[in-house]
Amino acid sequence: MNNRIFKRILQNKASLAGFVLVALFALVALLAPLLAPAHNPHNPYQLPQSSYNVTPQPPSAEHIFGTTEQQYDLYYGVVWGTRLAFKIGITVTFFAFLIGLFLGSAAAYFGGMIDEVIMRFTDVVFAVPSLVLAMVIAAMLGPDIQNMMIALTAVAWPSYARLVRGDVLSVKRRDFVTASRALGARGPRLLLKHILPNSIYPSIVVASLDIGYIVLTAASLSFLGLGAQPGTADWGQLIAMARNWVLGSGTNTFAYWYTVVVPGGVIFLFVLGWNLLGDGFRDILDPRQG
Amino acid sequence: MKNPVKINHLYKSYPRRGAWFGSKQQAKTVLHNVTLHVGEREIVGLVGESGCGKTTLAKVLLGLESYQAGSVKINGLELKELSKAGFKKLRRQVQVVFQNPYSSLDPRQTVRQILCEPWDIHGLYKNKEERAQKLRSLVRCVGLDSAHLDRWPHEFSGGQRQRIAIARALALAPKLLVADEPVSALDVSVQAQILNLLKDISRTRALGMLFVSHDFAVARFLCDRIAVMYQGQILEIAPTEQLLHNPQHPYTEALLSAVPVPDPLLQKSREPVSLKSELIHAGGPCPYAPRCRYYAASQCNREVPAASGGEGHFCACARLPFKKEKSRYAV
Repeated sequence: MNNRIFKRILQNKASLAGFVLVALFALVALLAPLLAPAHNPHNPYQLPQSSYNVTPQPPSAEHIFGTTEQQYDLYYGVVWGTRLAFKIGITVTFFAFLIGLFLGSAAAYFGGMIDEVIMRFTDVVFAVPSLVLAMVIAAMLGPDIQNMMIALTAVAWPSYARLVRGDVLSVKRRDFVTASRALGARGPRLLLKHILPNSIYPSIVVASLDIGYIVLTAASLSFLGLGAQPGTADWGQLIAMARNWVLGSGTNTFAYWYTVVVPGGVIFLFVLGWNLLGDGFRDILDPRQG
Repeated sequence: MKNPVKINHLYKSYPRRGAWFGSKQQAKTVLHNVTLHVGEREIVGLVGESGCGKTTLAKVLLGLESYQAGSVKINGLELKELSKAGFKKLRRQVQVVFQNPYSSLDPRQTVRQILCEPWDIHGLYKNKEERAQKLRSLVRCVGLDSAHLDRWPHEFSGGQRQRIAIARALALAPKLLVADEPVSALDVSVQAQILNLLKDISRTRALGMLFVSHDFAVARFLCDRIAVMYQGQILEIAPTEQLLHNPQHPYTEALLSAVPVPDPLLQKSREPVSLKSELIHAGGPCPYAPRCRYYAASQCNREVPAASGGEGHFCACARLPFKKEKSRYAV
């Protein structure tokens, strides 16, 4: 069955493009130490700085993507930033998924008061715009990548909780669950063996769509100074460092185009890849499309 | 024990929740004074229109629904009074086969996993070999092959799926099988196979069966006795042939008149009994009174006789004794 999904992803041009993009980024993340040898072995996410000159330098043989403010190497930032992006995207999505799965299935399975309490709390988190809430939490915890990931997880789980709750509610009424109950199966067995395996697929699709979005939000937080600190190989941080150079010099608007286009383009491609892949998953797993 | 299953004067109602913060309103009665016994190796049919409480009664027997009053005894044990452990043991006595074999098997489990689940839950084997042996004999008894064990439910036809569901129900060697319309989702050609299988199993495994159905032809083939249910009450119970050839209750008569016969001339000559009004329970002693074509205020406001679970012909009509010519509505 997994083979079938894979085949259909490769058949669809859009999802194939998504798959290729994500695979390329994954390759870059895996091979980061080879593509850009870490200059500081204790912290490879520390950007190398060739001098303290403020003005960005255009692409050259030594710096193929050029350098940004204060001579941080853009190429190095892109390569190690890819690894950081995967780390942030996958970790945050994983924990958000886990929390949502736990709360959503508990709400749906037990119902009654437990359901009310969990889902109203979910509604409260939903009611605040997620970026604003993430900013508040990140600001309270202090600017740091780990704190930013906690803030992102705290705003990402409600959508999973809602999704899982709905699916568990529909699956738990189905005959095979009743049959298992009549055989004597109790809560944990019903939930783990029958209900969850039949209700988590939609959430997995959402998770694949979410990874790109999480990385985008993480970049926004870094841009605002609430995430990675200056000098970190983080895409949002690279864009933050381009802030003063977006408008170019007096006469030439595009004088420092590479400071924005390189990190911006990488974020764009990364999010695009995950979205195309997620759309592909959704189309394939949607039962209405057979 | 003569009757492993004894249901006596069972009442069940669902609370109606109001729209405002679950405020309690008047309860809706779904089972009203139900008395029904099922003997060893006996197949009792339960016939009635949709929503009359057939499935609720089945769920009460399975311990999936509670009840407010009356008693449900299985092997002499009252369902309500059992401890948790005792209840789990009792699960082994009563098993179920559902109507739709497409939804009653977990699509993400292989047939082997599905059939081993009952034993896993109750810890009924010592080692893998013992389990494999039990599995082989179980699969053979429902007419499947050991080669089927590692396939997924979606690889089977409806009839085969229903065989798997029956095998799962038999795994715990129950005393009572609740069959909730087990053939109504199947092709006619497959129905007969499954019905024969159920009949065989009941005989060879000393299994009582409560066969919920709305098809008199199917019930006639399989059942020793048939109970007719209407709005949560049992209106008539009789041995199958007696019920079909000599229905006593006006509702049974109306139901039988609605069954078409496969003879055009005969079918044309029959006069279907039409029900007088919509489904309304006036709250009188007889739930069928508002629709009954023999309704007579002087007689129908009396209390209807209450069923005795045993043999014989019971009819919950206050107008009895009520003689008429042999019915022309036989299936």
